[in-house]
Amino acid sequence: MTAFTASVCRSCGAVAYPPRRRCRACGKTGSDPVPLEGKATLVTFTRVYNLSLAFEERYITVGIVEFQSGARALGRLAVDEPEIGMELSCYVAPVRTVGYETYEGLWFERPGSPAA
Amino acid sequence: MRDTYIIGVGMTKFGRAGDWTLIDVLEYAAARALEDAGLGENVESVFVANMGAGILNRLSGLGSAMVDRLCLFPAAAETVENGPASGGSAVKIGAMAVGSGAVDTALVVGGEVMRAVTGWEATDFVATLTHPEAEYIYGVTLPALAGMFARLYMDKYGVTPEHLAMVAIKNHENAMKNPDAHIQQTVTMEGLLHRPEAVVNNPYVAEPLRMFDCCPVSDGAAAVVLCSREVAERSGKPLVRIAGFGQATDTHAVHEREDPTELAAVRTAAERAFAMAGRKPADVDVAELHDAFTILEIAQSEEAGFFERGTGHIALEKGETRPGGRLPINVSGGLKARGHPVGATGVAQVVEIARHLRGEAGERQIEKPRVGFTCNFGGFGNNVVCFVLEREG
Ligand SMILES: [Zn+2]
Repeated sequence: MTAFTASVCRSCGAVAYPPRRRCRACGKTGSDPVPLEGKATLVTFTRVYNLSLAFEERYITVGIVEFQSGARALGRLAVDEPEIGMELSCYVAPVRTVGYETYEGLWFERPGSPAA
Repeated sequence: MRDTYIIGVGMTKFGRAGDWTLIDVLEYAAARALEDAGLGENVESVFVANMGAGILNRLSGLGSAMVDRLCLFPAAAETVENGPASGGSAVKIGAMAVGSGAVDTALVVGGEVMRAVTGWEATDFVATLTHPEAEYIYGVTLPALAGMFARLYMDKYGVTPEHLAMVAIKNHENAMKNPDAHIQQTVTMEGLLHRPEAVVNNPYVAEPLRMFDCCPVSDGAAAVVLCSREVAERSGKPLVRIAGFGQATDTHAVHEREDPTELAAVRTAAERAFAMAGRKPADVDVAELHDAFTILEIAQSEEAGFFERGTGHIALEKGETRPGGRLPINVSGGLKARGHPVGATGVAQVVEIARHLRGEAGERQIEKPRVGFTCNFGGFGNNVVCFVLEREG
C-alpha cells in the first residue's frame, strides 16, 4: 500500500491535498510532502447509485473527511451507517479498474475495524 | 467597452436529436437566430460552445464546421469548451469581441448531442470534469458531488426533501408552457415522495438526491446573434442589451473549499455582473438559474443575492419564485425540465431571458420585465458565468 501525500507550504505552512507546488493561501512556490494519515472526521457523504460499468456494486458510499492536519480529502467509506462528525481512520486500497489499470485510492473506516 | 446587443435568438427543441447529428442541431439553432436577426450580411465572428463532441461524437473543430455548414465564410471561428458553462463562456467571449470593437457582429451557438451514448456513459463523460486523482477515480459523478453538498446544506438550513420536490414541481409546470422543453410532464409531491411507488419511480441517485432532483440527459442547441448598438438600431428589433457579465472560479476538488455549503464562484460572478450593469439583485424581474440539481436552484438564488442565505427555500415555499411571484425563476422549465444539453445551456438561458425582455415568450411571458439574470454553473461550481440583460426603450 502506497501512502497518499499532501503538501505543506514552505512559506506559510498551509496544507493542501492534492499536493500543490504553488500555495493557494500565500501564492508562494515551494512545498514539502507530508503523508495523509491519522484520524479524520467525516464532513459529508453520499451513497451513489448510478455508477459506471467499472463498478459491480449496487451503490458506493463516498465522503469528504478532514484530517487533524487540516487537510481534507474525498474517499470511499467502508462504513454501513455513516454520520457527519464521526471519527474515521484511513487506508489505501483499489477503488476503480479501467481496462487493465487498477487505481488505488483512499478508504475510510471506523477506527479499529479489521481492514486497516 | 462599448455596449453589446442581442438581435437574434433561436433554439431547437431540447430532448432527443434522433437522426440529427451535433452539427445538424447547431445549424438549426444558428439558422433560426440568424433569420431572427435579419442581418443583410454575414456575421464577422462565430463562437461555438460545446463540451463533449470529442468524447461523445468523435468530432472536433466545431467552429470551422459551423461556418462551412452555414456558408458564413470568411468569418472568424472558434470552439469554446468550459464544461457545463461553455455556453455562458461563449456568450461572454462574443460580448467581449463586440464590446472591444474588434467586430460588429457575432454568432454564438451552443449545443450537445449526449444521447448518442448510454445514460451512464453520459454521466461518466460529465464526471471527467471532476478532479482526476482526487475525485474521478473514486467513481464520483456530478450527482455525487451534488448529493454531498445537499446533505450539508439541508442540515444547516432546514431544507427538506419536500423543498427539493417543490423546485421540480414548479419547473416541470413551467416547462408545460415551453414548446422547446425536453420534459412535458407535471409531477406532484405525492407522486415524488409520498406514494408507496415513489421509491421505484423516484429512486435515490446520490442520497439525499433522487431522480427527480436531477436534470435529464438532453440533446439540443441554442443560439444568439450579438451586435453593436449601431447594427441593433438598424435592425428595428427591440433593444436587448448585455448590461453586465461576470465570471469567477473556485477550486477543482470540491473538498478544498473552506465552507462546503458555499458556492463562492456564483457569488463573485453575480457580483461582477451586477457591478458591470450598475444594477442590484432587487432590480431583476426574471432569472434563469442552473438547476442541474434542485438544491442548486435554492443555493444559487441566495448566492446571486436574491434572497438571504438560508432563506431561498422559504421564498420558494411562499411561491415567490413562481411566474407571477416576486422573482420568477426558471420560467423556461430550467435545466430540470427544459433539459440540459451541456454546451447549449448557457446560451439557452440567455435566449429565454431575451425572449421575455422582447415580449416574445408566448404563453409563459412574464409581464413587462426590464431586467433579467442568468447563472451558468460549470463543474461543481468551479467556473461560473452570470449575465444581466436589460430591455431598452
Ligand atoms: Zn503558503
